[in-house]
Amino acid sequence: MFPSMKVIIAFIVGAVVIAGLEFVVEGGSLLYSMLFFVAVSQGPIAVAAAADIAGGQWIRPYKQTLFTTRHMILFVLILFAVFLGLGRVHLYEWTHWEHPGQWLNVPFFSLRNLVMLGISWVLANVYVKASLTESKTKNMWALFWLFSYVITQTLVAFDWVMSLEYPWISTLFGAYFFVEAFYCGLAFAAIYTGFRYQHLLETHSGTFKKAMMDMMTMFFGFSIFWGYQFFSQYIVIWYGNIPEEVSFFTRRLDVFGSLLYLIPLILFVIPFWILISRKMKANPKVVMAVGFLVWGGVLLERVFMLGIHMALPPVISAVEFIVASAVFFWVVKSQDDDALVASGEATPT
Amino acid sequence: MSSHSTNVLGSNVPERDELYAYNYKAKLEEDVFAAVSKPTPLFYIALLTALGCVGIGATSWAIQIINGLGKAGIMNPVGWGVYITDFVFWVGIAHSGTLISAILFLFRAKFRNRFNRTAEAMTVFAVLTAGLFPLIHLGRVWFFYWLFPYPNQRHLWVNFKSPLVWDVFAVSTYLTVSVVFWYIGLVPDLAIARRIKESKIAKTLYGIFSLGWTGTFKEWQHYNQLYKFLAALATPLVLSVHSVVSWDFAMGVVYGWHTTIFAPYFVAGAIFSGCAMVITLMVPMRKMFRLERYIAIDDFEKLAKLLMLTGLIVSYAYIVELALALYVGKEGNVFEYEQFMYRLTGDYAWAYWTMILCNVISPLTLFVRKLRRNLIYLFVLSIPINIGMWFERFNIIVISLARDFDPYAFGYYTPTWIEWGITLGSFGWFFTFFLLFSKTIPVLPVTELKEEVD
Repeated sequence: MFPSMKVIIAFIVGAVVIAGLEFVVEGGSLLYSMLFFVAVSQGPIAVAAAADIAGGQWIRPYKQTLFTTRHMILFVLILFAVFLGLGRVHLYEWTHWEHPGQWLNVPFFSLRNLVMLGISWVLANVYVKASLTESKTKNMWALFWLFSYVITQTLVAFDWVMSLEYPWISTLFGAYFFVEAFYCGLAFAAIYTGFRYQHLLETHSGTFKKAMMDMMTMFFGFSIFWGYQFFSQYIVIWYGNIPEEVSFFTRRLDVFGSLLYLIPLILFVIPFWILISRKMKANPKVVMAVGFLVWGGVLLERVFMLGIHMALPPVISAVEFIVASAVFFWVVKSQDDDALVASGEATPT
Repeated sequence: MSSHSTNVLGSNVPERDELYAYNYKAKLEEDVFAAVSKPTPLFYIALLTALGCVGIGATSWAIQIINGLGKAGIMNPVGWGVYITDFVFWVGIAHSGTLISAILFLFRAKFRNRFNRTAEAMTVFAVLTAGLFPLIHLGRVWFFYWLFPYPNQRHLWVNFKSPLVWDVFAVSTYLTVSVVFWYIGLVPDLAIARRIKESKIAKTLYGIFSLGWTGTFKEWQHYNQLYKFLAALATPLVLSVHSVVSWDFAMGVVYGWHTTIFAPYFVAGAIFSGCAMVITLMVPMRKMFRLERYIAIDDFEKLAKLLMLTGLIVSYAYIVELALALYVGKEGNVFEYEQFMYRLTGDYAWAYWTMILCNVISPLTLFVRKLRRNLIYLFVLSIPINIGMWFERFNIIVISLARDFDPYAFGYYTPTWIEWGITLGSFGWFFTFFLLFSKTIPVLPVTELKEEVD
């Protein structure tokens, strides 16, 4: 359940470097990285849990790898603690209110987010153990984990992002975040397919190609679903044309201009047109490229979400993101290697 | 000897054994077509009851037509009452049938084969029922054709910017695709009926509708391709259609209506109510037509799980709507806040809490495995869920209109007996079609079930 020593060391080093950078330059860089990594750490496990509950056989070649991101939830929790510790919570306007709200006040905000990330990490570990051992309680834990996933992502949407815009609300925002995190999870599977295609083909001979096609069909399906959610939110706000609501888009249009159109283009149009072809879905390099594209789209979207509320110093944001990415890569790789050793497919080094 | 398994083919279909498979197929045909035989007295009682309800509905409507719309309780500020609630309820049921069938087909879920015929039939009949309500809601129904865009001397044109017009196009497109999807799936079974039926008239009719199907390899190839294509077409279509229905409300600047979650929430709600309605229909039908051998408890359990999942999504939407109203509070948006406080504690609180009890609390009991495998319990549970889904629409429509922005325009709406009579009539209308269907067309897809043993 607990991460290995090398993972813990990576967490400490990563957190110290990021805290140091944050100490030097103020801004929203840390929140930006957290917003991305909370999606890519939870999304892959959500994909596996949903497949487990549905009895999907196509998850088998991917399962071990999708589980490798679970400890990143702990890293996000550590980053959130750093965020609180450095007083970055004051980036939120509501922290300066004379009379704090019952929901929007610093102690409750900190507590509920820390607790949910903690619960999510613990449940992810319990579920992973049950799933890998094919325990009878596998589906029950998958369900519990999915509950925690939905609640955490909803909190991320409402607390971390939507509260920046108070009193602007969108009831779809929470669902938008957990669907997007799921989409990121599928993108992770696509990226992994690109890197380890030959290995997957050898270890799951006969079944992998079909499993990959199913996984990529799911990826394709989620490109449509993402587009549907985006449109569902956009059209209601656009059609209603209420000043305090449309300001969510108009303020961003004022700052970022037509760059905003890149979001539906990257996250819906391009993946949709590429993945509609069976040939493309079967090509590991293509799906890997689409996976990276989707991650890139989510990163860009996070810039648009935060960029009008706080400074995102480009160099510091990039460096912090690279440090967190290195931790992510290290966690995934070490977990993946451990899994290979455990299954006898590799020898310990 | 062959043995029965509950996991090899996902149901209680016997394991592969050529002799058994042959017997199984023959018995399957015999059992399913036995249901499409001479009606029993119980069937006539059910049909007469349904027709009686239609009679009540028709009389109520006639009274309304003769005396005017004032006979209904709808009045400012609640201009949309029970009629539009009924419309959305039936449209929801309609949208779920094809969605359940098409999505489960694309996901290769085998248990779908037990329910798809009923679900698709339910879709078609529910659209026919829903389609009545925009007409009933018209003051002068004889001018219904004014709803359509046609060249006329007064240069009147429908407002294409209105979601209500999008709805007309969306629902009629949906009806077309659903009928085609249902009919295509029927063709091989109609050919079996043509072979089995002895009466000349029946043979001729089934012969016409089976389009000369002979079951050649090439025919199957085309059939499978077309069916898959239609399933792939129907899935996004149904999502978009029910989203358009949700936008009838969400596009309006009325608190409780104007909310972004409506589209996915309506779609989940439609599947939720549709699953409940399929259970309501299939549990007694399985018993009456003696289809226990073909529809296993496992299959119902899977349907119950789908019911649970969609129930949780709907519950999530209820919680988020309420939570965000409390989150913005009086300071952030007094109208949103007051609307939800009114739902919780106002004149219609009884309707709101009925909805919560039926749609949020009662499906949670399905977490108990024993209960979701108990068919009597499932049947009993499906009824409050249907009632709860009706109340969901009632709450959205009526409560929001009753408490708009201006306290001067606040009002209270009480449905009249005319509206209740028409609502009862709509159920009679739906069940009349359904009963006639059950005696005309095989209620289980024989060819698809045969494929499972191959």
